Amino acid sequence: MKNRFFMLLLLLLLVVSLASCGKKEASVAASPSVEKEVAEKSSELSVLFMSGVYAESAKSMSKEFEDEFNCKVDVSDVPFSSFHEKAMLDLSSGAGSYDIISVNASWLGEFAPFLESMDEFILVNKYDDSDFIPSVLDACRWDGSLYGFPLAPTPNMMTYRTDLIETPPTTYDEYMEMAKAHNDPKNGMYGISIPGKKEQYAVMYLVRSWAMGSDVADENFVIDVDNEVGRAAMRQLGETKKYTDSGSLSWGLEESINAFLQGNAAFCEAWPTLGIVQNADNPDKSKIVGNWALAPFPAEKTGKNQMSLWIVAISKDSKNKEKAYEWLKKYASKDKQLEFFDTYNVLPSLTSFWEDDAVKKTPLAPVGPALENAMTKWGIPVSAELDTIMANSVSSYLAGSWSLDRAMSYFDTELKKAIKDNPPGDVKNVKAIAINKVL
Amino acid sequence: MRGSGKLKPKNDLMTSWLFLVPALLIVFVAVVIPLGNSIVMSFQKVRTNVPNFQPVFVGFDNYMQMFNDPLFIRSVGNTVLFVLTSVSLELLFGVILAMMLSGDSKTSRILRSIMLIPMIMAPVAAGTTWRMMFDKNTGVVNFMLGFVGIEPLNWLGTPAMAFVSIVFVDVWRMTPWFAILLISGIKSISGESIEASLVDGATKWKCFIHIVLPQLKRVLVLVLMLRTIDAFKVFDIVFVMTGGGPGMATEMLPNYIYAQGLRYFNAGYAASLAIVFILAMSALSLGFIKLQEKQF
Repeated sequence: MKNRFFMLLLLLLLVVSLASCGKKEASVAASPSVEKEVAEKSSELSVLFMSGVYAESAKSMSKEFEDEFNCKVDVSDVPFSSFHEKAMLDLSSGAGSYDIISVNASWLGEFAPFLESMDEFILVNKYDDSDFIPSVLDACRWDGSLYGFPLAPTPNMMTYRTDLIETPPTTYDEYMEMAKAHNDPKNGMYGISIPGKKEQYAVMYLVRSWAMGSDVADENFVIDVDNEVGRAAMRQLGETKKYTDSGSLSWGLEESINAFLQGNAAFCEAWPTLGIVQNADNPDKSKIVGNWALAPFPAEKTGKNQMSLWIVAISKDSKNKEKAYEWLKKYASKDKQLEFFDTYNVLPSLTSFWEDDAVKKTPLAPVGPALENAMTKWGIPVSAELDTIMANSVSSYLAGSWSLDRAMSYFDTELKKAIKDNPPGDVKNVKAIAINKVL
Repeated sequence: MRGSGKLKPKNDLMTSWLFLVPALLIVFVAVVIPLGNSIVMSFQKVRTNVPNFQPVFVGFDNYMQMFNDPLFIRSVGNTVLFVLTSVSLELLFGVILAMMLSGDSKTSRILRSIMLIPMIMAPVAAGTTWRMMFDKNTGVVNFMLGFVGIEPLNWLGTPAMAFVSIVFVDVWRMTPWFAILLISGIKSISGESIEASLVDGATKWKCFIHIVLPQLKRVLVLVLMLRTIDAFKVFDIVFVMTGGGPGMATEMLPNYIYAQGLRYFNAGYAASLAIVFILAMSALSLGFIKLQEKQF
């Protein structure tokens, strides 16, 4: 009898504990404390930015915004290497952890369905967007809608040593001649410093392919890589590698920038605003103080260049869209952009800044004109996969694992497969259209 | 003495089950449901980064796709080669270290503690540190090699050397694990049989081959099984040291499954890859268990 009673008691306890798990949700949803919590949450803004200076700039504005709008701001930051996963997991699961998210422009097509279109906000508030650089603001649009304000537009440019190179090259042939002339591996000097670890190859390939006259797909996203231009771009990368440190195939941005700052290369292909601009004139970190300058990559046929861009956008799941819009407006205002440039070297996205005579006298002067002719990569939903395919193809060719034929065949076949599995819909390939317009 | 608390067999069984229910529930929620969900998903096309995406049943398409996926084939080849080389080396060095440090001297005890350092380091930290140490120009490894007249090696910049570097770091990290477990195995061997063989004139090598090794077999098979399965899950050190490059030289299967699931959000294909991985690991474990049963 005792045992039976004991078993019944255990069973009852188990049922009650399981049932209470379910009940809790219902009771929590109705409790006044939770209502209060929801109300408090709506006066809070949660922001997600990439770690580093971008997140620092966002954090620096928090106090001011809190005082002005009586709204607490919490800025979270995640490194680039895991940013895409973190942001997309949050958005696609509907967790709604963030009201504002900075999205890399190359992911815009993938993120757009989870973001709030800005068109109505701009219309209702009569927001004046005329000072944004047109090409930069256009890169924040997907399928005709604007999804956020541009942050830190950075054209991909080469940096060169002014004490070694009188005039930067205007063609890739000239570029190779100059690199060859300064390549002296025995003395630790190389023609070019490249970030040869896989993550930057999509950038390095596209900057050549676009200038030479072709995107990887036509305006309807029909893949066409294994062609004359594609092969020329790949061969050109092979040429470039001849004048680099053999260790550079394992270098990330940091190592390639450091090699240039230490005076070990005549040219550097890493994004200049991720370390060169900040440190090149600092004698503690650089051996090339006063001996460097920026230049666009050779224009070749189209002069089309690549740009990195972050789009500061509002999540569709945000419970406080009005405040989020106010935050965005403030973050993108001219005052703030100038402040962030002075403090963190975050490049402004405003025409008026780059046309300022004072800016034109700085080493950053070539950035403004370069932005006008720059495009962001991909944009379509399958962009992360395309990046990997491109990186594998270029890296295998440069590492000597694959011949040009094999690299181009893999590149073409795999891109076609990826696009076929995940077609981008009715959108047009604006890169191909822009390139064709010039040709 | 009737009714003194002894349970009838039937009641005993029921009580046992009752006590097991909470644990079974946890296993059901944490293991069975996700696994079942993954199995279902592996037969579907699922894109988790597309809003309101309705999963489409595609039969065995995801499984068939693997045969036409060059990156999958390459990463499987790389992973198998990695496991074979790293686990073999770890076993070899683990046995040597265990034999050297199984004594009770103060030096052995100190060295055993020092030996644990690589093992307790987070793989990401270890990978990052070694990545810096392997740098061709500024790394401490080439600097040290310079003292003995060896030209700087391009550790991470060529496909073959990058693979060797990954294996090296894994061997550095996990050999102590082998050694520690084998030391406890060695300590359980009766000292008398070893002493008797030495008195009878056996050399140390013969004593190791004929006395120590046979008695270590059970431990060896067990640690080999655990380590082999664990080595197949290599991820962190590859992620931070090479990112799978140069080319596809260090692409490993877990990194590929991660990319499919969490970078491309291709959940259906990632699930099928994970299921194949689980099946392969289960088959491997079964093989080891059969081997153990056969031997003992």
